[in-house]
Amino acid sequence: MGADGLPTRVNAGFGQPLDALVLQRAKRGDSAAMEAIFRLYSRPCYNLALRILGESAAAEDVVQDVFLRMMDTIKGFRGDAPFGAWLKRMTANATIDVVRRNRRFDSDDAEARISNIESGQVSAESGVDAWSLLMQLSPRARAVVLLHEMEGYTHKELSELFGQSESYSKSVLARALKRIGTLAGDDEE
Amino acid sequence: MSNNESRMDQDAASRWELLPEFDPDPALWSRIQSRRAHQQVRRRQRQRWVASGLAVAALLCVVAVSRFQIEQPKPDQVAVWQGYSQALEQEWLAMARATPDPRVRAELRLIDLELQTAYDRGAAESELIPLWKLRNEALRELIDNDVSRMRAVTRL
Repeated sequence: MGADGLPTRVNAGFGQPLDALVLQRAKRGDSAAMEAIFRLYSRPCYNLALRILGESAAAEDVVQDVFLRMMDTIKGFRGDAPFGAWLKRMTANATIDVVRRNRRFDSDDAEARISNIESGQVSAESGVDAWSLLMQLSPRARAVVLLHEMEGYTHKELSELFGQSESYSKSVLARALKRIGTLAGDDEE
Repeated sequence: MSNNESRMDQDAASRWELLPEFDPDPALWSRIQSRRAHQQVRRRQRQRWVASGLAVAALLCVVAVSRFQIEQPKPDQVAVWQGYSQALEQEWLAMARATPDPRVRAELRLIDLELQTAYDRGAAESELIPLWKLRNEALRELIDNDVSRMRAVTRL
Protein backbone atom coordinates (compact mmCIF):
# COMPACT_ATOMS: atom_id res chain seq x y z
CA MET A 1 0.00 0.00 0.00
CA GLY A 2 1.17 3.52 -0.74
CA ALA A 3 1.09 6.44 1.63
CA ASP A 4 -2.38 7.36 0.44
CA GLY A 5 -3.76 3.89 1.09
CA LEU A 6 -3.77 2.88 -2.56
CA PRO A 7 -1.93 -0.16 -3.77
CA THR A 8 1.55 0.44 -5.19
CA ARG A 9 2.88 -1.86 -7.85
CA VAL A 10 6.05 -1.85 -9.86
CA ASN A 11 5.88 -2.59 -13.54
CA ALA A 12 8.14 -5.60 -14.03
CA GLY A 13 9.11 -4.31 -17.48
CA PHE A 14 10.63 -1.08 -16.28
CA GLY A 15 11.78 -2.86 -13.13
CA GLN A 16 14.19 -5.07 -15.02
CA PRO A 17 17.77 -4.32 -14.02
CA LEU A 18 20.21 -3.07 -16.62
CA ASP A 19 23.62 -4.71 -16.75
CA ALA A 20 26.28 -2.23 -15.59
CA LEU A 21 28.58 -3.16 -18.45
CA VAL A 22 25.84 -2.52 -21.01
CA LEU A 23 25.18 0.83 -19.39
CA GLN A 24 28.87 1.76 -19.53
CA ARG A 25 29.08 0.77 -23.18
CA ALA A 26 25.93 2.70 -24.00
CA LYS A 27 27.37 5.77 -22.28
CA ARG A 28 30.32 5.48 -24.65
CA GLY A 29 27.89 5.51 -27.57
CA ASP A 30 28.10 1.79 -28.37
CA SER A 31 25.17 1.12 -30.70
CA ALA A 32 24.97 -2.60 -29.78
CA ALA A 33 24.52 -1.60 -26.14
CA MET A 34 21.84 0.89 -27.16
CA GLU A 35 20.06 -1.87 -29.01
CA ALA A 36 20.30 -4.13 -25.96
CA ILE A 37 18.63 -1.41 -23.90
CA PHE A 38 15.94 -1.08 -26.54
CA ARG A 39 15.31 -4.84 -26.50
CA LEU A 40 14.99 -4.73 -22.72
CA TYR A 41 12.75 -1.70 -22.27
CA SER A 42 10.96 -0.99 -25.53
CA ARG A 43 8.04 -3.25 -24.61
CA PRO A 44 7.10 -1.59 -21.29
CA CYS A 45 7.75 1.78 -22.87
CA TYR A 46 5.45 0.97 -25.79
CA ASN A 47 2.73 -0.51 -23.57
CA LEU A 48 2.65 2.46 -21.22
CA ALA A 49 2.32 4.86 -24.14
CA LEU A 50 -0.22 2.63 -25.90
CA ARG A 51 -2.41 2.28 -22.82
CA ILE A 52 -2.54 6.04 -22.39
CA LEU A 53 -2.80 7.09 -26.01
CA GLY A 54 -4.78 4.12 -27.27
CA GLU A 55 -3.11 4.27 -30.69
CA SER A 56 -0.30 2.05 -31.86
CA ALA A 57 1.26 4.60 -34.22
CA ALA A 58 1.24 7.33 -31.61
CA ALA A 59 2.73 4.94 -29.03
CA GLU A 60 5.53 3.97 -31.43
CA ASP A 61 6.27 7.64 -32.00
CA VAL A 62 6.62 8.05 -28.24
CA VAL A 63 8.99 5.06 -28.04
CA GLN A 64 11.04 6.53 -30.87
CA ASP A 65 11.25 9.92 -29.17
CA VAL A 66 12.12 8.38 -25.82
CA PHE A 67 14.94 6.25 -27.19
CA LEU A 68 16.34 9.07 -29.31
CA ARG A 69 16.33 11.27 -26.21
CA MET A 70 17.81 8.46 -24.15
CA MET A 71 20.71 8.11 -26.61
CA ASP A 72 21.35 11.84 -26.38
CA THR A 73 21.23 12.01 -22.59
CA ILE A 74 22.51 8.66 -21.36
CA LYS A 75 25.98 10.13 -20.82
CA GLY A 76 24.44 12.29 -18.12
CA PHE A 77 22.68 9.39 -16.39
CA ARG A 78 24.22 9.32 -12.91
CA GLY A 79 22.49 6.23 -11.62
CA ASP A 80 20.74 7.97 -8.73
CA ALA A 81 17.63 5.96 -9.63
CA PRO A 82 17.37 2.61 -11.44
CA PHE A 83 17.74 2.95 -15.19
CA GLY A 84 14.24 1.57 -15.78
CA ALA A 85 12.72 4.20 -13.49
CA TRP A 86 14.60 6.91 -15.37
CA LEU A 87 13.32 5.59 -18.69
CA LYS A 88 9.79 5.21 -17.32
CA ARG A 89 9.78 8.85 -16.29
CA MET A 90 10.97 9.84 -19.76
CA THR A 91 8.21 7.73 -21.28
CA ALA A 92 5.53 9.20 -19.02
CA ASN A 93 6.73 12.73 -19.76
CA ALA A 94 6.84 12.12 -23.51
CA THR A 95 3.40 10.56 -23.49
CA ILE A 96 1.85 13.35 -21.45
CA ASP A 97 3.51 15.83 -23.82
CA VAL A 98 1.68 14.15 -26.71
CA VAL A 99 -1.59 14.30 -24.80
CA ARG A 100 -1.11 17.99 -24.04
CA ARG A 101 0.07 18.95 -27.52
CA ASN A 102 -2.52 17.07 -29.51
CA ARG A 103 -6.13 18.15 -29.26
CA ARG A 104 -7.15 14.71 -30.43
CA PHE A 105 -5.81 13.29 -27.18
CA ASP A 106 -6.33 16.30 -24.99
CA SER A 107 -10.07 16.70 -25.31
CA ASP A 108 -10.28 16.44 -21.56
CA ASP A 109 -13.66 14.85 -21.64
CA ALA A 110 -13.05 12.47 -18.78
CA GLU A 111 -16.15 13.83 -17.16
CA ALA A 112 -18.20 13.18 -20.27
CA ARG A 113 -16.76 9.72 -20.74
CA ILE A 114 -17.35 8.86 -17.11
CA SER A 115 -20.88 10.20 -17.43
CA ASN A 116 -21.34 7.94 -20.43
CA ILE A 117 -20.26 5.01 -18.32
CA GLU A 118 -22.64 6.13 -15.59
CA SER A 119 -25.52 6.37 -18.01
CA GLY A 120 -24.87 2.85 -19.21
CA GLN A 121 -23.79 3.68 -22.76
CA VAL A 122 -20.96 1.17 -22.43
CA SER A 123 -22.12 -2.37 -22.38
CA ALA A 124 -21.43 -4.51 -19.35
CA GLU A 125 -19.87 -7.09 -21.62
CA SER A 126 -17.18 -4.71 -22.84
CA GLY A 127 -16.73 -3.43 -19.31
CA VAL A 128 -15.54 -6.84 -18.19
CA ASP A 129 -12.50 -6.45 -20.38
CA ALA A 130 -9.89 -4.33 -18.60
CA TRP A 131 -8.63 -2.92 -21.87
CA SER A 132 -12.10 -1.94 -23.03
CA LEU A 133 -12.81 -0.36 -19.67
CA LEU A 134 -9.59 1.62 -19.81
CA MET A 135 -10.34 2.82 -23.31
CA GLN A 136 -13.61 4.30 -22.10
CA LEU A 137 -11.60 6.96 -20.28
CA SER A 138 -9.98 9.99 -21.83
CA PRO A 139 -6.21 9.77 -22.39
CA ARG A 140 -5.67 12.11 -19.45
CA ALA A 141 -7.79 9.97 -17.15
CA ARG A 142 -6.08 6.83 -18.45
CA ALA A 143 -2.72 8.40 -17.70
CA VAL A 144 -3.76 9.25 -14.16
CA VAL A 145 -5.17 5.76 -13.55
CA LEU A 146 -2.24 3.87 -15.05
CA LEU A 147 0.55 5.99 -13.65
CA HIS A 148 -0.96 5.95 -10.20
CA GLU A 149 -2.28 2.41 -10.08
CA MET A 150 0.37 0.56 -12.06
CA GLU A 151 3.47 2.69 -12.01
CA GLY A 152 3.27 3.94 -8.44
CA TYR A 153 3.17 7.65 -9.16
CA THR A 154 2.03 9.81 -6.26
CA HIS A 155 -0.56 12.54 -6.70
CA LYS A 156 2.19 15.10 -6.16
CA GLU A 157 4.15 13.63 -9.07
CA LEU A 158 1.03 13.49 -11.20
CA SER A 159 0.20 17.11 -10.43
CA GLU A 160 3.69 18.13 -11.59
CA LEU A 161 3.39 16.00 -14.69
CA PHE A 162 0.08 17.53 -15.72
CA GLY A 163 0.69 21.01 -14.40
CA GLN A 164 -2.46 20.71 -12.31
CA SER A 165 -3.26 20.61 -8.63
CA GLU A 166 -3.09 17.40 -6.65
CA SER A 167 -6.84 17.54 -6.12
CA TYR A 168 -7.27 17.38 -9.91
CA SER A 169 -5.57 13.99 -10.24
CA LYS A 170 -7.21 12.75 -7.04
CA SER A 171 -10.61 13.69 -8.38
CA VAL A 172 -10.02 12.17 -11.83
CA LEU A 173 -8.64 8.99 -10.32
CA ALA A 174 -11.37 8.54 -7.75
CA ARG A 175 -14.16 9.07 -10.23
CA ALA A 176 -12.57 6.92 -12.90
CA LEU A 177 -11.95 4.02 -10.55
CA LYS A 178 -15.38 4.24 -9.01
CA ARG A 179 -17.17 4.27 -12.32
CA ILE A 180 -15.02 1.55 -13.81
CA GLY A 181 -15.71 -0.51 -10.71
CA THR A 182 -19.40 0.16 -11.07
CA LEU A 183 -19.38 -0.77 -14.73
CA ALA A 184 -17.43 -3.96 -14.05
CA GLY A 185 -19.85 -4.84 -11.28
CA ASP A 186 -17.21 -4.81 -8.54
CA ASP A 187 -19.67 -3.53 -5.96
CA GLU A 188 -22.48 -5.85 -6.88
CA GLU A 189 -23.49 -8.00 -4.00
CA MET B 1 -10.91 1.57 4.66
CA SER B 2 -14.02 -0.65 4.67
CA ASN B 3 -13.91 -4.29 3.64
CA ASN B 4 -15.91 -3.43 0.57
CA GLU B 5 -13.45 -0.69 -0.49
CA SER B 6 -10.51 -2.95 0.20
CA ARG B 7 -12.02 -5.65 -2.00
CA MET B 8 -12.64 -3.09 -4.75
CA ASP B 9 -8.98 -2.05 -4.61
CA GLN B 10 -7.89 -5.65 -4.90
CA ASP B 11 -10.26 -6.20 -7.80
CA ALA B 12 -8.95 -3.07 -9.51
CA ALA B 13 -5.37 -4.20 -8.93
CA SER B 14 -5.98 -7.60 -10.44
CA ARG B 15 -7.84 -5.94 -13.32
CA TRP B 16 -4.82 -3.81 -14.34
CA GLU B 17 -2.59 -6.86 -14.11
CA LEU B 18 -4.82 -8.46 -16.70
CA LEU B 19 -4.21 -5.67 -19.19
CA PRO B 20 -2.82 -7.19 -22.36
CA GLU B 21 0.78 -6.52 -23.34
CA PHE B 22 1.71 -5.78 -26.91
CA ASP B 23 5.01 -5.79 -28.74
CA PRO B 24 6.05 -2.78 -30.77
CA ASP B 25 6.72 -3.12 -34.48
CA PRO B 26 9.92 -5.21 -34.91
CA ALA B 27 11.15 -2.62 -37.42
CA LEU B 28 10.95 0.15 -34.81
CA TRP B 29 14.61 -0.13 -33.79
CA SER B 30 15.82 0.19 -37.37
CA ARG B 31 13.57 3.25 -37.78
CA ILE B 32 15.05 4.75 -34.64
CA GLN B 33 18.58 4.06 -35.87
CA SER B 34 17.79 5.63 -39.21
CA ARG B 35 16.30 8.68 -37.54
CA ARG B 36 19.31 8.89 -35.25
CA ALA B 37 21.70 8.77 -38.19
CA HIS B 38 19.71 11.50 -39.90
CA GLN B 39 19.80 13.61 -36.73
CA GLN B 40 23.55 13.15 -36.42
CA VAL B 41 24.12 14.19 -40.03
CA ARG B 42 22.01 17.30 -39.49
CA ARG B 43 23.80 18.02 -36.22
CA ARG B 44 27.20 17.71 -37.92
CA GLN B 45 26.03 19.99 -40.73
CA ARG B 46 24.83 22.52 -38.18
CA GLN B 47 28.15 22.30 -36.33
CA ARG B 48 30.00 22.80 -39.60
CA TRP B 49 27.88 25.87 -40.36
CA VAL B 50 28.47 27.26 -36.90
CA ALA B 51 32.21 26.58 -37.17
CA SER B 52 32.33 28.25 -40.60
CA GLY B 53 30.38 31.21 -39.28
CA LEU B 54 32.73 31.55 -36.33
CA ALA B 55 35.77 31.30 -38.62
CA VAL B 56 34.39 34.02 -40.90
CA ALA B 57 33.56 36.19 -37.90
CA ALA B 58 37.06 35.68 -36.49
CA LEU B 59 38.59 36.57 -39.86
CA LEU B 60 36.47 39.71 -40.08
CA CYS B 61 37.55 40.65 -36.57
CA VAL B 62 41.22 40.20 -37.46
CA VAL B 63 40.81 42.32 -40.61
CA ALA B 64 38.90 45.00 -38.75
CA VAL B 65 41.44 45.14 -35.93
CA SER B 66 44.39 45.28 -38.31
CA ARG B 67 42.72 48.05 -40.37
CA PHE B 68 41.94 49.93 -37.20
CA GLN B 69 45.55 49.63 -36.10
CA ILE B 70 46.86 50.87 -39.49
CA GLU B 71 44.55 53.85 -39.50
CA GLN B 72 45.42 54.88 -35.99
CA PRO B 73 48.27 57.44 -35.74
CA LYS B 74 51.25 56.11 -33.91
CA PRO B 75 51.03 57.36 -30.34
CA ASP B 76 54.71 58.20 -30.27
CA GLN B 77 54.78 59.98 -33.62
CA VAL B 78 55.41 63.41 -32.06
CA ALA B 79 58.10 61.88 -29.94
CA VAL B 80 59.68 60.38 -33.07
CA TRP B 81 59.75 63.74 -34.82
CA GLN B 82 60.97 65.40 -31.64
CA GLY B 83 63.76 62.87 -31.24
CA TYR B 84 64.74 63.32 -34.88
CA SER B 85 64.81 67.07 -34.36
CA GLN B 86 67.08 66.73 -31.35
CA ALA B 87 69.40 64.50 -33.32
CA LEU B 88 69.57 67.06 -36.14
CA GLU B 89 70.22 69.81 -33.64
CA GLN B 90 73.10 67.82 -32.11
CA GLU B 91 74.50 67.24 -35.56
CA TRP B 92 74.24 70.90 -36.42
CA LEU B 93 75.87 72.02 -33.16
CA ALA B 94 78.66 69.56 -33.67
CA MET B 95 79.51 71.08 -36.98
CA ALA B 96 82.60 73.26 -36.88
CA ARG B 97 81.07 76.09 -38.79
CA ALA B 98 78.35 76.78 -36.32
CA THR B 99 78.05 80.42 -37.15
CA PRO B 100 74.77 80.42 -38.95
CA ASP B 101 73.04 83.20 -40.58
CA PRO B 102 71.26 85.27 -37.87
CA ARG B 103 68.13 85.03 -39.97
CA VAL B 104 68.23 81.24 -39.65
CA ARG B 105 68.58 81.41 -35.87
CA ALA B 106 65.63 83.80 -35.84
CA GLU B 107 63.55 81.32 -37.85
CA LEU B 108 64.45 78.50 -35.50
CA ARG B 109 63.49 80.62 -32.52
CA LEU B 110 60.23 81.49 -34.25
CA ILE B 111 59.41 77.80 -34.82
CA ASP B 112 60.37 76.96 -31.23
CA LEU B 113 58.07 79.72 -30.03
CA GLU B 114 55.24 78.34 -32.14
CA LEU B 115 55.88 74.88 -30.73
CA GLN B 116 55.94 76.15 -27.16
CA THR B 117 52.68 78.04 -27.70
CA ALA B 118 51.10 74.94 -29.22
CA TYR B 119 52.20 72.77 -26.30
CA ASP B 120 50.98 75.38 -23.80
CA ARG B 121 47.45 75.32 -25.18
CA GLY B 122 47.44 71.52 -25.37
CA ALA B 123 47.47 71.34 -29.15
CA ALA B 124 46.77 68.05 -30.87
CA GLU B 125 49.41 65.90 -32.53
CA SER B 126 48.04 66.91 -35.90
CA GLU B 127 49.18 70.47 -35.13
CA LEU B 128 52.44 69.60 -33.41
CA ILE B 129 53.82 67.23 -35.99
CA PRO B 130 53.91 69.76 -38.86
CA LEU B 131 55.76 72.17 -36.58
CA TRP B 132 58.30 69.52 -35.67
CA LYS B 133 58.67 68.69 -39.36
CA LEU B 134 59.23 72.36 -40.10
CA ARG B 135 61.86 72.57 -37.39
CA ASN B 136 63.59 69.50 -38.76
CA GLU B 137 63.59 70.94 -42.25
CA ALA B 138 65.12 74.14 -40.92
CA LEU B 139 67.82 72.22 -39.13
CA ARG B 140 68.49 70.11 -42.20
CA GLU B 141 68.87 73.29 -44.23
CA LEU B 142 71.30 74.63 -41.68
CA ILE B 143 73.32 71.47 -41.83
CA ASP B 144 73.30 71.46 -45.60
CA ASN B 145 73.83 75.21 -45.62
CA ASP B 146 71.11 75.56 -48.18
CA VAL B 147 70.04 79.15 -47.72
CA SER B 148 67.61 79.08 -50.61
CA ARG B 149 65.42 76.50 -48.83
CA MET B 150 65.58 78.56 -45.63
CA ARG B 151 63.45 81.17 -47.30
CA ALA B 152 60.59 78.73 -47.30
CA VAL B 153 60.95 78.33 -43.57
CA THR B 154 60.87 82.10 -43.07
CA ARG B 155 57.40 82.17 -44.59
CA LEU B 156 56.01 80.64 -41.40
